[in-house]
Parts: sequence; C-alpha cells; structure tokens
Amino acid sequence: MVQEVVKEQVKVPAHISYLRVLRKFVTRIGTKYGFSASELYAFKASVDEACSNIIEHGYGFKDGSITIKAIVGNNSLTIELIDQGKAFDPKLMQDPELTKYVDDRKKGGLGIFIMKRLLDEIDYKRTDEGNVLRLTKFKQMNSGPLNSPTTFITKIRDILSS
Amino acid sequence: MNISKRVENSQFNIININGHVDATNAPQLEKEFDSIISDGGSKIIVNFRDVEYISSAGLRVLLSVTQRLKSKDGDLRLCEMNPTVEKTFNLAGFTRLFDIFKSEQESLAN
Repeated sequence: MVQEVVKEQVKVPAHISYLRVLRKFVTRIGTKYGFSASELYAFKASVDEACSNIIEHGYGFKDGSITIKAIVGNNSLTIELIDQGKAFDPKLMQDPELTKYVDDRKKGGLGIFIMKRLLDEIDYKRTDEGNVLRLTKFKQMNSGPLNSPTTFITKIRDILSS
Repeated sequence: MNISKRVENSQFNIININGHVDATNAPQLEKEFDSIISDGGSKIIVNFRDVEYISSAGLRVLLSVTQRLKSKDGDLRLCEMNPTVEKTFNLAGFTRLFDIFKSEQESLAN
C-alpha cells in the first residue's frame, strides 16, 4: 500500500513577498527527502506559479492566506496548497501556443503550463476548507510531462516498493 | 535579485542577473530592459550564470523583450544557463523561443 504522511505544514499571508518563503519551504523538504536538483527546481517553480495565481486571481491581491503542506510518499512528494480564494481548477486551463504567446498579447496561462510540464500529477478539488491543489512529483526517471509513460512506470514502482 | 549591465564590442548590451527572478522583481528587470531599449540598444545578451531561478513572470519579460527587439532588427540572446535552469527550459519547450548559447563568448561571436 502506498503510504502518505504529512510531514510539515505552514500558513503564510497570500502576498507575493512570501513567494520566497514558500520556495524555501519546498526546497528544504525536498532536500531532506532526497530529491534531485532538477526535481527541487520543479517543486520551487510549481509552488511559485500556483501561489502567484492564488494571490493574483484567487484573492485578487486582497488579504488572504495560503496553507502549504508537504506530504511524503514512498517514492513521491506532494505539495498541497489550500486557500479560500475563488475556485479555480488549473487543469482546465488551455495550454498557450508558445510561439504565438507574445503576438497574441497573452498575459496568463504560462505559469500553469510550466506546472503541467514539470510535475507528474496535479489534482484540484473544492472542499469545505477551500481550494485544495495537490502538486506531485515522483522520484527519479520523472522528467516527462504530466501523464507521461514515465509517470506510469514510477507509479508502478511506487506500488511494488511498498 | 541583483542586476549589472555593461556594453561589449560597442553594440552588445550585456545584463548579468544574480539570484531569483519572480513576480516580486520581474518589474525591476523589465525596467532595465526598457532603459537599454529607450537608449537605442537593440542587441541584448542576458548572462544566466548566476540565475538560480526564474518564474513565468521573468519569462514573460524575456518573451516581450524578444518581440520588441525583433521589431527593431535586434535580438535577445541568453547564455551560460546552469544545467538545472537549462533542463527546465528544455522540458517546458522554451529553448525554441530563445537564442541560447553555451558561453558569453559564443553569444558575442554569432
């Protein structure tokens, strides 16, 4: 059975000045549990992008808070972000056409695109607590995009090693 | 984030960025580009050697500058990315949006 344990959590004001604090949190946890430099970067970037969206679009730059939890699995790390801003499922956002991004004068969508490319799983649900966004990456061999065959293999390994 | 600027070969404006580029300081980076472009600079090289992290806010600035320089017959070149940043650029498909060089010397020569 795959076990998941919440190792640490912190709650910070939903303000861009706290992005650095959130990145440091995931870097510290990821380092502690043996994730590689590129995996750490993926977590940093994804948390940064997700929280920037929560601050700008979820709360509209108004007061609010973000709770960040680190959930450590047998071969994975999940970062859970909880906020009470507007509901928003990033998985429903269409990927931007990169080569036309500037021509089309687009301003959004790039951060979510980066998250999708760097992570193995993104889950979103609206609960009584608020918006719950789960960002997961599996250790090793996980450089592929979301739902890649590599993700499937690492999931099977995760199950077999438990 | 710290930024330093210099001019090489009388035509290349080189920007060295040190640290993290995110939503808090991307506007500062944009101002540095604005200042070069408004002074007539059209060939800009960003040395990534000391960039530890860049978010979509910073990437949007770079994309926008690339477009602005194209309209002035200029270009934006990136060089000396550390392996982690370069890998992320590869994974996200950004390598086809920018001219990326291994070394500053190469970016000046091409």
